Amino acid sequence: MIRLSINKDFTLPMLGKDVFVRLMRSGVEYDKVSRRFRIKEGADVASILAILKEAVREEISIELPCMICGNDAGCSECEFSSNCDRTSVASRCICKQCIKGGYYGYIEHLIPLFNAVKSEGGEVKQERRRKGGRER
Amino acid sequence: MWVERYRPKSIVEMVGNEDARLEAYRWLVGWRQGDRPLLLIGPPGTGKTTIAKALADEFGYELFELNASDERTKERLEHLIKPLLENANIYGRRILLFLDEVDGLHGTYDRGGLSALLSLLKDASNIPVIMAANSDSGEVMKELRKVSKVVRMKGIPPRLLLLYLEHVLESEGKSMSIGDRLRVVVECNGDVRSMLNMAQSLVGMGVSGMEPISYSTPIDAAINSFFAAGNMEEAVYALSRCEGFYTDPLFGYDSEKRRVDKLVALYSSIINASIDNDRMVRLLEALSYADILIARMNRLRIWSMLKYIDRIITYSIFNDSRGLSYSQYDMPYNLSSKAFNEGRVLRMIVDAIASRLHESRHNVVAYYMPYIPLILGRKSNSSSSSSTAVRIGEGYSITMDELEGIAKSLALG
Repeated sequence: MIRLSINKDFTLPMLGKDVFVRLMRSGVEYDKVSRRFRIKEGADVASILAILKEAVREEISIELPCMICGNDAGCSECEFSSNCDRTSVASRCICKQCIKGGYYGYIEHLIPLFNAVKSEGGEVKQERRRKGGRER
Repeated sequence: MWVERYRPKSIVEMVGNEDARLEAYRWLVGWRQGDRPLLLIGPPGTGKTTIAKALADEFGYELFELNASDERTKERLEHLIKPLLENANIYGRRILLFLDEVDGLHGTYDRGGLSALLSLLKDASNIPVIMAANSDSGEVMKELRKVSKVVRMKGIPPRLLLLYLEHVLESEGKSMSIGDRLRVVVECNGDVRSMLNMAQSLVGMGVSGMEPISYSTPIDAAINSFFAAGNMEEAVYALSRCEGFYTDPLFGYDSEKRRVDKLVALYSSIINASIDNDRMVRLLEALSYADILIARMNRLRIWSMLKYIDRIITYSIFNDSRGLSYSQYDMPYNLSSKAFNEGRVLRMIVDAIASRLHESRHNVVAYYMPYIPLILGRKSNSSSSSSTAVRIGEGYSITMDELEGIAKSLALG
């Protein structure tokens, strides 16, 4: 069984040019230096899975990353593993350890991310102002 | 309703789709005049509307919302949005325009809506615009994708749903068995709204942990339970658990949809029942009102009202419908057999003429068949009618039985 982690690098056996092109078109990135693949954010995971299943003729399992700690969320041991279509749900979940922090633990982790975007955006706006862009 | 009470006030408080939320947040933080509108695409209950509302709140925008229940023709859009755009800066108000369910722009009801929307989006470059769509397919979406920044959202993973459900239950001071919690999470298919509605109804009804919560009672069993229910609440419950739904004839009324259409199931059961005419009239009248209501809801896309339909139907037909049973045929047997036989004879005649004239069946029905009854009708008064009919029959290789069949079916025999 091949385990693919979303947002994490992975390797694949040689699958030929045709499969490679189809994977790239479906939202897979390839790093020539490390020779590793990565599924891009917002990629069509279902079609990537279909292409790989056809090419490698092996069972492929998708592993979602944990939003909080960044490790694998543990999809194969998850209580919802048989009911969760990992190709159609959002690309991040939460692992068994981090879920213990509860809902507030989850949002506490998100606050700095949003704050970073806010300050980043403020800087971009200031930069634009300096360059003379029109601003409301 | 828990759905409204626990709608996150800020974008951080939502669950799931973190990258999409950050992307939407980044878009508004860095927004400046002339930027593309934001197009959120994702299944229902993933937080598209919540994102728009939360962003407006957080950044001090006044949200101007136009959803699918509003008429969105060219004239209407121009009438509503143009003044808004022209006056946006006059009073110093910061306005965020939110267009919900843009994928539902309808060709007939919203005529000219798409082109008007595209041109308004160009004009609306002085205010941020967020659009939301459930589906990504179709011509409307193709055009809108070209002019927007697209952010895709997906269903919420079950574990995050469970996290949110537990938070809501805790805040409400309610409890649910772990089995029920897991089943609610699994059955809502990544839709937070549906999860909260399901959980609230389970907690409110006090349904036991062992009772299945699946909405999958086959339509025949559900309709029979409806007719056999001892009181209105039981009847509403039977209808609400039915695997069927209320279809919209506008968007295709094929046999597959009819099979699971609750209204059609009730209709077919009523017209096949051996009841007196007055009772049938009352039942059919009540159903026709429900039908009108459903069609209006579908047309205006007021999905939030659909939840009242089961109750409305139950209250209007409950007393008169006691003792009936489910029937799947939407035509009484004596009528359906007559229609079937006539149809069979007509098909045989069309086949014979088509083969004789080397024409398609469609052309025979469209261009030749209208003359057959005329010929038969004109000749039927004369003494030579039977020999004329025989000659026509010979000409087209049609037997006398078939000619009689067509004449009878067209009420000329």
